[in-house]
Amino acid sequence: MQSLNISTSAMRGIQQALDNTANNLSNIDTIGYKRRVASFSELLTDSMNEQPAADNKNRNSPVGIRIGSGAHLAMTKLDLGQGSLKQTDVPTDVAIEGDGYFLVTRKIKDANNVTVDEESRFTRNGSFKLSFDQDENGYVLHTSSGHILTDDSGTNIVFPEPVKNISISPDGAFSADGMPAPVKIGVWNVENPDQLKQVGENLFDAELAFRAGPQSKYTSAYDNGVTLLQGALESSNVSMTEEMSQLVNIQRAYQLNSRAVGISDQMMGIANQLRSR
Amino acid sequence: MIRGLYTSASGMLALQNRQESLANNLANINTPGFKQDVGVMRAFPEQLLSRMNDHEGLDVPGIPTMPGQPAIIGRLHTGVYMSEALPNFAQGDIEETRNPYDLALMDNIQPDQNGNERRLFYSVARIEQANLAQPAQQEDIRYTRNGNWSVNSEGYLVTAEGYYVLDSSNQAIRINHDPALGTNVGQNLKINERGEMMQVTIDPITKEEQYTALPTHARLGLAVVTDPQKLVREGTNVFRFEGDIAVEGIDLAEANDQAALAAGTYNTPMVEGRFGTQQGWRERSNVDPSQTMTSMMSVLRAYEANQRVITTIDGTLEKAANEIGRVNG
Repeated sequence: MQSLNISTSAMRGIQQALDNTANNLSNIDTIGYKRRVASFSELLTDSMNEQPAADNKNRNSPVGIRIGSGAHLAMTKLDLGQGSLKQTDVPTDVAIEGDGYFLVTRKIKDANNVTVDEESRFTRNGSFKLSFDQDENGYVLHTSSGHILTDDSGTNIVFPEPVKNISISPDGAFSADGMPAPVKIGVWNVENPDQLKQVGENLFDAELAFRAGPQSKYTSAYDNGVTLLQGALESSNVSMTEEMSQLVNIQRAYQLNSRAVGISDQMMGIANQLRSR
Repeated sequence: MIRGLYTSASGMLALQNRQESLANNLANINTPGFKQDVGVMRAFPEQLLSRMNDHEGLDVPGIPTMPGQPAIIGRLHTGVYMSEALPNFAQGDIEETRNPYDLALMDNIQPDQNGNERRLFYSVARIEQANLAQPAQQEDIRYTRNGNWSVNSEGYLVTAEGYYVLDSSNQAIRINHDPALGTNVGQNLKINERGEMMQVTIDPITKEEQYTALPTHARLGLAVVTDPQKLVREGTNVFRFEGDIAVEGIDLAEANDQAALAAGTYNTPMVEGRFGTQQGWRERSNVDPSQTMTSMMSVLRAYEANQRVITTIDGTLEKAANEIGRVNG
């Protein structure tokens, strides 16, 4: 009986939507996290059991009866709404106001400690730490995953000595005591962030070839009115109430479909008992 | 054999089809823009029953016995079948998503002069990569109410199933990497309530939003479908048009509306001002869960009753086969 498969397909999709909601909820306190919204879609529809031609005169719809085959989770769309800003007063914390991403990199080395590749990642997480880096032979700003922040030409920002009295202006200029010239933190505009691959650790794959600068593919976001805010972080844009109401919605849909499975099962049972005496 | 067996069996079969239709509605309870199907049951063609070799029997009131003819008993239907699944095009609820590529379509378009129902749809099409610069072929165009879109890697506006969203000249809408646009529109796309597409820019000095119409795509390809019951449901949220009244683009429908108003054919507009698109929202499925569940339960009970009839008739047949004619019974 097809209806069992129909309801099962929907339940599978709903379960994936539940996973998505659970992931959103678990990242409710992740800096710069962007929630995903589950979106369902219909599966194919079949036209079957074509009726006798005499029937066609009395009907409005095209011939045959339509039997759908259920639903599935079509996509999970990124919700790019701005998260609320959280004041931290840590000088190396930066929040992006507007649409834009920091570009961070990490070197990938082989067994002989030779750099073979470089990961280029986008992030909205502006929680950086200043520490010494062996490769760069200087102090760098890096994320919790160890990726180094880059400037407006895509090269790593390196300071020869630990800098003090850091100040970051809204247009991205980074200046500090004992620094010869200010560097500019790069913020990049991504036309279609939905297409970026999410690689975990709050990072998106920038899909840049090894040693190719971000200018080859992206434009600076400062032109679009993006500003930086020092001493603040962008909270996740997950809203507890929204996710909870979504959870209730999903759970009810799951229950309804499981009832449908139950009823179909009872009908099969009834058909089985046709000759049971 | 006893006719009731076949009658009840046809009932069970029809109810099974109805259950499948209900299960599909329920499965799509969270599908944006889904329109529920309502199963229509219909009796098999009517037959006249008559008593064979019986001329002397009583007349059935109203049906006189003709001399030399078998006595007519009355009319009989030998069962039921599900003849069609009619979609219910009622507007679904709308919900906010705050996503610039989500669009809810609300319509209150009036029936045409002949009283035919009219509904508004987005037109979408599957187009070969090489033909993207040309308008979509008429046979490739499909209609949907699902305004849950995204932008693909080439910068085209697409549905979740990969159909290209079309503008009013049946051209796939490209909002990124379009040479004619100069700059990329992307998230700054603005679609107003009439389906007109614009780019939002923020003036660097006054910080005010400015709207400029997209040079290549003036308006979204909204289609007015007259007699939407004739649409073929293809699944994956789209309908194919196979009716006899041509589909009107929204521009044409509005022009016709204006002409009729000017000519005094009717007093109030039937299309213009009677629909709206809302960006950042999406239309939910119009499946009513409580009604669907209730229908399922009644289907189950009716199915059970039909089974009981079959078992009862089977009991009668058993008597005929095993008890009648037995000596020393």
